[in-house]
Amino acid sequence: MAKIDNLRTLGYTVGLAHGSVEVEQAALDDARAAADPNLVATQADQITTDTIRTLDAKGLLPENQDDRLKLATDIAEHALEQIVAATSENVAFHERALKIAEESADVWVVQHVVEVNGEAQTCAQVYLSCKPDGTGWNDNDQALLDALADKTSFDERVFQVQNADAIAAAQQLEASGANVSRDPGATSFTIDGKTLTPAKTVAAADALP
Amino acid sequence: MPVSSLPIAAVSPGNVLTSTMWNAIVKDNLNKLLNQGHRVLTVAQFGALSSPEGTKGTVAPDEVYLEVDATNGIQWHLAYESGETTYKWRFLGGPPMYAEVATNEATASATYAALATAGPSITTPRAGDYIVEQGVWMQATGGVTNAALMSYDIGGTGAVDADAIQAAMSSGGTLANSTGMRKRLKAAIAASTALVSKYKVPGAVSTNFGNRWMTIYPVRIS
Repeated sequence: MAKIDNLRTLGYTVGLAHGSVEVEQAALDDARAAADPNLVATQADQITTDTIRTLDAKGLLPENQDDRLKLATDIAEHALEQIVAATSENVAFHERALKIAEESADVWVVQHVVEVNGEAQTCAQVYLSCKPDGTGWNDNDQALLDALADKTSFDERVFQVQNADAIAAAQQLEASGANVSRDPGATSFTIDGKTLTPAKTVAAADALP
Repeated sequence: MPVSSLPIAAVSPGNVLTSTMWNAIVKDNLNKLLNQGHRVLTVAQFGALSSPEGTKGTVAPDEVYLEVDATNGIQWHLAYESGETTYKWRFLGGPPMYAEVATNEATASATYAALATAGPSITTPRAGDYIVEQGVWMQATGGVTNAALMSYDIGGTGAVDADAIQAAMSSGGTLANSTGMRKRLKAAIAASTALVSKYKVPGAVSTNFGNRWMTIYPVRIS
């Protein structure tokens, strides 16, 4: 049974599409940090200061000093209440998200990128859903993972991308009546019983009338 | 959670903090502090949203960006619509999830089967109605006439001809090529369902399939 790391070792680029427990844990940690009582109190103070300044600029502050103090107290009290409510809900939200991630398989995006003449070409990109240890979400995902881990199939994709001109030449020869064959993963063609390299296959097609 | 839509803070009679002050000034400052604008949610976070029903714009936002592929930066813009029966988040925009296998591989299977490189395949992030589109290049050899089909499994449900791209190719002694693509609306696909392309050649004549691709994007999801 293949694992995600087998694909990386073979040469695939494997990224996470979605579903990471680590991502959700980090988000929950951030939410908990934002709900720290000291930070919340500081934020409520900041809101109070900003609001008093705004009211002052608009000429809306009460004339009476006692009323001003009471206004500041009320603003601080309500701001604190709202910030606590918002940050607490945010923590609960991320706790729910973490639980969902823990109960879900990860969805990976697997890319097979081959370099041709200095240019990266993607010859395959598929999504599959499984745990990193290769435990499949269903039979299709497991079959997909096992197929991607097959070395012959991997090499065949590389060959086709790097020898597109030779494959086109082989098809040209076949269309002209030649008997052409090549096994998956092979690095040469068999044309009318002769083994030809990709370069010689191109030359043979070029020599057609 | 945007504070701007929270209920007006209770203000006791005699208080100098009026509702007008609260609505006009304090909540704006709170929103700036909490920096809650539009939200990019992971799939797990999207699932963790409290039901917005009846509290639209408070417990959950009206619009979200759902990140379905963090590696390729694919986000879907969704809007909540309480009038929808089951899938209450409507798709507003974003690129589709995309999978491809360029490699040319053959099968002579008369029933739907995977090629050496299985797929393309895409896993649905959420339950919903999806537009599924696929395309392929096919090549018949050897002076025969044959049909070739590309369809896709939907989870444990096997591929069917009704979803397939189909071509009938008459090679006349040489190679015959055909390309095709097809788009279908597939309703009520469950979350975390793998859509996996499968291929068949009813005449059991070896046929090549290459440049095969699949995209999906939602119409509405839950």
